[in-house]
Amino acid sequence: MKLDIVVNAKKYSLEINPTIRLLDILRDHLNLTGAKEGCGEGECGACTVIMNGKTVNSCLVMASQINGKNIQTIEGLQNNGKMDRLQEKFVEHGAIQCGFCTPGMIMSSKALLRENSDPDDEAIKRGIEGNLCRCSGYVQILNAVKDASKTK
Amino acid sequence: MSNVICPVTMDELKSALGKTTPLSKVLAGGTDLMVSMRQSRLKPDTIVDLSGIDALRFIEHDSSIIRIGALTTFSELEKSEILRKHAFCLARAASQVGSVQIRNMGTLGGNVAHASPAGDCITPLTMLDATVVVMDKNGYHSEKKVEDLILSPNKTSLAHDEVIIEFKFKGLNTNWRSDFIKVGSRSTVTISKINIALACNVKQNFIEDIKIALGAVGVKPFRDYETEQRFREKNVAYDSDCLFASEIRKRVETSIPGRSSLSYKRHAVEGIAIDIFHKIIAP
Amino acid sequence: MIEKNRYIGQTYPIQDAVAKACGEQIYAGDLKFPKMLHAKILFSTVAHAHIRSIDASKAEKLEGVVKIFTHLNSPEKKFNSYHFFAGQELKDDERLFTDKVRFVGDRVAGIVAETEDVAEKALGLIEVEYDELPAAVSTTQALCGDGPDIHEGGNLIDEKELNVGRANDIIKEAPLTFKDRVSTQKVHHGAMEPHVCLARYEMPDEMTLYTPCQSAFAVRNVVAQFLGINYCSLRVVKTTMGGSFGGKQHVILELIAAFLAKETKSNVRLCYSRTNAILSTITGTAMEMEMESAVNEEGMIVASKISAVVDSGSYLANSIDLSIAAGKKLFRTYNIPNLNYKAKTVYTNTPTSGGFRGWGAPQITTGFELHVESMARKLGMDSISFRLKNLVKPYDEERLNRFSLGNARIRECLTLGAEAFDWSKKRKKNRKKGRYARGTGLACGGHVNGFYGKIQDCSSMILKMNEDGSFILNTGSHDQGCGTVRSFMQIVAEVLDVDMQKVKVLEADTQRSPYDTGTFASRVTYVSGKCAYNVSLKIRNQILETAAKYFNRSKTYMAIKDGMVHVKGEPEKQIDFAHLATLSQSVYENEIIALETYSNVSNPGAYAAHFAEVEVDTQTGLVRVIDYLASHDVGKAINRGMVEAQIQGGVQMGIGYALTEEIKTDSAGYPKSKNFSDYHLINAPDMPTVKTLTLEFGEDDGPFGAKSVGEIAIVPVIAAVMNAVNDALGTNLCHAPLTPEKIIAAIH
Repeated sequence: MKLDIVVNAKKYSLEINPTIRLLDILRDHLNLTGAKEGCGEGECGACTVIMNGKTVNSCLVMASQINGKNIQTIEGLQNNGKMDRLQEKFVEHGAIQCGFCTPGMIMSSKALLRENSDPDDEAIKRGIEGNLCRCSGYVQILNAVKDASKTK
Repeated sequence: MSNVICPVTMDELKSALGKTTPLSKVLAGGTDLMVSMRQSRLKPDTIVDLSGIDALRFIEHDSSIIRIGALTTFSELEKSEILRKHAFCLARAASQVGSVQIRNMGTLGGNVAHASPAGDCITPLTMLDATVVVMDKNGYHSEKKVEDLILSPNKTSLAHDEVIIEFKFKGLNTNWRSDFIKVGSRSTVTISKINIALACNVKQNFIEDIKIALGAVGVKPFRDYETEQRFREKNVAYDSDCLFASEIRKRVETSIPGRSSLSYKRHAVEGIAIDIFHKIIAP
Repeated sequence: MIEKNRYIGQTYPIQDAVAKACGEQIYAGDLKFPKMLHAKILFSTVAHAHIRSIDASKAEKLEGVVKIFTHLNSPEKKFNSYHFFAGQELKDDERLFTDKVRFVGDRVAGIVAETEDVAEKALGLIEVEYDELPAAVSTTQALCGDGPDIHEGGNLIDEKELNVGRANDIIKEAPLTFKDRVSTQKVHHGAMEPHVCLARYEMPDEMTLYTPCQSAFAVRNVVAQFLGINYCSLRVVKTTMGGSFGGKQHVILELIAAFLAKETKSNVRLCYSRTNAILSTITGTAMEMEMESAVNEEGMIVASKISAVVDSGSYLANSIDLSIAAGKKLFRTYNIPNLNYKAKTVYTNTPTSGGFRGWGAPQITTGFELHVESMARKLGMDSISFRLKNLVKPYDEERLNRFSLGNARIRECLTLGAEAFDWSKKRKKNRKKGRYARGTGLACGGHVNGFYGKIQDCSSMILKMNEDGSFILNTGSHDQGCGTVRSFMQIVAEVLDVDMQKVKVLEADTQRSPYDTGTFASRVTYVSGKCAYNVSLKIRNQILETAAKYFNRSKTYMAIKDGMVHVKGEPEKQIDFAHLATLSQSVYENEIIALETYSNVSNPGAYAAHFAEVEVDTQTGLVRVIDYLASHDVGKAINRGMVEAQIQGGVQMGIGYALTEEIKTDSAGYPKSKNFSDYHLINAPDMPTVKTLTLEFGEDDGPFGAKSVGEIAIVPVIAAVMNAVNDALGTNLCHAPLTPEKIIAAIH
């Protein structure tokens, strides 16, 4: 089927098997490998991207569902080669270890901050409840998000 | 490869349903279907993808009836002012489904059609005595109670060419309070081991009316009429909690007799019964 | 030499943090090669059976299927995924594709196809008929049941004993003895990146494997041996690691992918799903332990005897080694004069056990720390003072091998940690008598610093100076995602007093790097870090020599400061590294380059005392860890922030281990935990803010006094949490994980 989508502010017109997953479109067709597959069933959040302003697990979204949608991935967060402040804060606070959860974690945090510009700890934890990190105890991630919310 | 039909209007939906077979599937948010297609290597011949039908996304409230479009997402339910006012329990249940990402995609229609015994929103819908409006390929609308639609775990009375289009129930008056509590193995992003939805109208410790439903303790969520009856038009005090909880516990014991999970659930249900009692019956 | 540290002890982001934050870092699963084929594995759906027949003909006819391998057309030869260095003696008991399945998840067939989709479809077309056998899903069933043997030779694989003194006799005669039975379960590592390997076939018969592994040389050893490829022709490249924790330590996918690539003479990608990773790689080992100890009037543990049963799962892998390692780790924390440890290693029809963070230590420490706590309770002694009577002291000898435990500071971990946690106040606090029970728990743990005293433990590195004064450190090391590369950068930059951005560290590539034993046994910072330190000293010396030649002065008159060499007392005589390197190359025709092979010379203990406060809902059995402090003897923190983050990560994993995580099977061996929906990791809302206390007393042989932290971080967690739950409930629950169901069953 023909899909017209906008990914990271770029328009794409794709002829695609409608049953494949958004994750596969991003990774295999658009070569955007930032979103990762950690579980394939929406439990780990490593494949999180933002679709029409809302985070989704791209492993659970079928191609046919994205027609006409606007999608933002981790690769689309930078602005003219400059990192988004959330990305900067993740780096600065040591919120990144193996990095496999990072793209999804940052996208969830991004969506959270768009809805709630001054989240407390509980709100941040709820905001990333669907993003698992095995390397940390989430402390640096929390600090990074908190800091990013303050330095606008 | 499955044939995918993406209707945008209700007319297109009708004709799409006309093309289905018993091997077809309807996709709403996709959060359950995508998992089961992957796990069981299920390859439906046709998938009717409803996600483009904006007409099925709404929450409306008129003359005390609340109508919710089948494609309304959990996030939308969670944030709905109408529900917060008139069916708080449903907003609460929706807010505890999966993670943020799941709630952004998953829909009320999908939750009910998937008919998981642990489907969180089914319990408040059952408690609210909600009606499901089903449409078939001819555009014919029929209505059923949620608890009649769901037959057994993951099984509904929906034929392959039928689809849930909306839910209807009487909104709770402002003198009612309601809530939903669940227990899983984590505090969030967890499947219910047991859940409860409760609504009541209490005036100075007198329960004028009460409705209770229990989930994940049987093939489908069900109303606990016995407990309702025992407490309706009764005075309660703060310390009536244990009596209330033990009454509900009895229902769990008769609902899943002999099941290995009973020894846990009979205690856990007391816990959430006490919690909900203090939250809304006798704070 | 170095007055004040410029880099050591500071906090830096992991070296590739920016690329990771931008989603640009390439992991193995992101790689693509031309004409790349995709492999899928058909896994057994029954726990124990002979394959009566297997028919792949329908699948082979599917368009896009290249080839299918089963036990009928693959080598009968066996391997062991833990065969990580040449010369290691180990029993091989595993086939590429088995003719007898031993657990749900055993490899039955391998499919190579043009696309992943076709491969997936082909899986469903292979017809397998099983002659089912009764399955032994517990060690008791395996040892005492009358079912058929899982492997020839019986289900009891081995029995080992470690002994010091006369523990058995003393306990028999002692007036005061205590006994506890503790068990720990099979667990999944839960690295976010599932297992993946890409095999790139190169004409005429060479191959490159791209894999997130813990030892590229181990991969080469297993694969080259098995497939009969010259070591020089098999290149193994370690890719960015999306977490391992021991899970990617064994050579499994690499061997399968290499075999499939060799047979099809193609590039092959093999990527496991989460379910495959949980069931069909390796798991953290389940252990049952019976502990008995005699205590004298002063509260000294005079003798302990432990008998353990190690569940190897369906294949051997490293379970015998683990059974010994676990026992040895007992000797590191408490100074018990008479100690007897016996372990049986047993096959069961469950997923294979293998490497896991702490490897034997989380298990044995959980066992012993629950035992210690229950003794303290029965003796009416305070948890801390009872332990202080028995813990090792700095430079004590470990009684089994008589190694020095080095600057062992477990006592400080305990006392300073207790203070920082406000333990005595929290402990005394009136527990709310009601539905929510609060309790506190602590546990001590000890771990190793490498393999010294057991097997080879060496690293080689080459450090060279480029013409612009920058440096390349070529290592055979593997950053597991915890900043090893950054630590090496810090070490080199510190020794050479040069801008850290001018140090590039390369990781393992078997054709281009010098040899390294690999990421095992908490050896990387302590052993490889020391290698980096030593090779930097060599280069420092060469720099000084070159400068001495240039200034025509004695080397002793040369001094390095911030990337410059100057003559002492003559500050105007100075040359920067860039000029010096260029000079060395163009005029002296000499490359400033050094090779260092460093073998570990000691094995001090790494220690931690952890403190947990929990709240248990006595109705639902749910436990919340509400406060947590991890106090660690790290010698010296190289990268402070990463040390803390790694400790907190260990605690996260340990809380899951204590409360929720378990690879369960039903009585027929069918797994009940197959993905993250039924194998629950602790997510952010359930995680307390873990406080860390890093104690820096130095360690003689570590680089800048550093020692290990990655594994010890999980070691005491399980016991600390379980002890806290028992304190809250007044129970003696000893079988991890403490699920709500177990808690409710115990208190009602």
